[in-house]
Amino acid sequence: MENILEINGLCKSYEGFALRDVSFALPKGYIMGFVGQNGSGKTTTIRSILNMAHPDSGKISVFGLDSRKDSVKIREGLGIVFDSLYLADHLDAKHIEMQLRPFYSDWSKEEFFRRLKAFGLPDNKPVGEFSKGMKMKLMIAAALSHNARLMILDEPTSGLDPVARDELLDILTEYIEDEERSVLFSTHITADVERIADFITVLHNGKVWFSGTKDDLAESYVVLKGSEEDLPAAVREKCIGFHGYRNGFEALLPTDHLAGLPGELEHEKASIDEILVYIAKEDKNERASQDTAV
Amino acid sequence: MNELRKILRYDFISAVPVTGTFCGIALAVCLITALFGLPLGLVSFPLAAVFFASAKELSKSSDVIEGVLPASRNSFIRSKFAELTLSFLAGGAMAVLFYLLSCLKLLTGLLPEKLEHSVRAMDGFLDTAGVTMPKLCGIIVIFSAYFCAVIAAAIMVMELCRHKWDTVIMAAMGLATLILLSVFVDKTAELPIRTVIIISAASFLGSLMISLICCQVTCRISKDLEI
Repeated sequence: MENILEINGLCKSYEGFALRDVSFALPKGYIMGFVGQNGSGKTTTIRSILNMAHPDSGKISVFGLDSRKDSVKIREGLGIVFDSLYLADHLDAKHIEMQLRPFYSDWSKEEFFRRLKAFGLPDNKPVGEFSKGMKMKLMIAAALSHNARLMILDEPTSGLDPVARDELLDILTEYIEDEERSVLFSTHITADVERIADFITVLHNGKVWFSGTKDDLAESYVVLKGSEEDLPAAVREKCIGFHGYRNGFEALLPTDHLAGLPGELEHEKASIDEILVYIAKEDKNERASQDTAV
Repeated sequence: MNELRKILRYDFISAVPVTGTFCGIALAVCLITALFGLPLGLVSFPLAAVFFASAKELSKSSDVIEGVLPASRNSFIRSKFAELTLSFLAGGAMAVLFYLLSCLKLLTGLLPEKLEHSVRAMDGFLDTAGVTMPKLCGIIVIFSAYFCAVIAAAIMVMELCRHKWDTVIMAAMGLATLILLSVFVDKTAELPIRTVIIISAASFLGSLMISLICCQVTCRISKDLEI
């Protein structure tokens, strides 16, 4: 599989936050869900891909080009959708088209207006008056009009109503149909990722917690439930986000440690949402044990 | 250069729907009044400032656009200085042209008698104040060059400070301008025409140089700054 995006050992630190050794790859023709809690480093990673943030170390390659040296060339092949509109919001779509056209050698005016029509967007109304869903569609229409090979979306579905979210996901699924284009889709709404992503990268506290196929993630973890007394100490250590109740416990467990578990314990497949919740709980547990130690 | 042209076009398209009509009407008024001998065209200099300010501010919702469009960071910075220099110097040049046109008084004879008298009285007033036509043109050029240079320096400082001290910088710039202008206006009447013309030519070239230097310094340093 040819990778359209490769990140190797990306490190970037700000005051109070650091991305540490972030590495993952997105193959051509697939959608990758880039998930993590707010503040986990998703936007910093995306800003680094776009050369808006300068990594302290590590290498980012897009279309086989270096993100620092060839950023202009890279951006010509990128479709970028942020959670808010970055275009001049007092202009209508016709003027926006006139502004963007010269920047892209592959720009197709016909495609832009065809997409606007298909998305039901008016071309004579200031884009600042569009709803959030319409703004997303406008940015996507722009991306599709210059034949972007990689679409990067940063939290596009947050704040969208269910219908607009559904439409957006359909557009993305259609976008990669020719198997030449890919999507990197950052979100904390995991239901969207479960629906359309082929690959998932989970970022937690600035580090990659998991990166692989959605199926691998689903098969790698289970939610374990039962009575604490039935849980062997060796397995207890492997539990992630252990949470004890009056009548039992719940925790996330890597499937590698399922063998030999007492029959009294129940386990079921973990959803991405549950995985994120248990990772966060693990953090909380670690902080609590550190406080106790102090 | 190609990138710079694209960005200028981008900003121009942003500004035209908002300030284009206003500036167009104002310029038409300046032209018509100049034909009747009224030097209202002097306002085309601040008009240019309005257009410049709107072009850059209206072109985007956020700085993110610099990370999205396929153009280098340096081109975005150069476009700011190019727009500034073009607007102010073109504004100054237009003010001079309108003023010269107003001196010809091509249609003054068509004005009602009272108004015609007022127009002619204005010339008398300027003569009494010691401000002749070439001197006034020189002063306009000096003003536009001064503003161009000061704003170029302000843009450089604001970019380098990552827009953290914008208000302080603007206030300092405004204060310095007020002091300099009050001194300059006070002394202008005493200056010989030749001196004013030399100062205006020097200011024009000087502002171009300052703008160029500020642009180069900003490009050099901003290379390592994040968007």
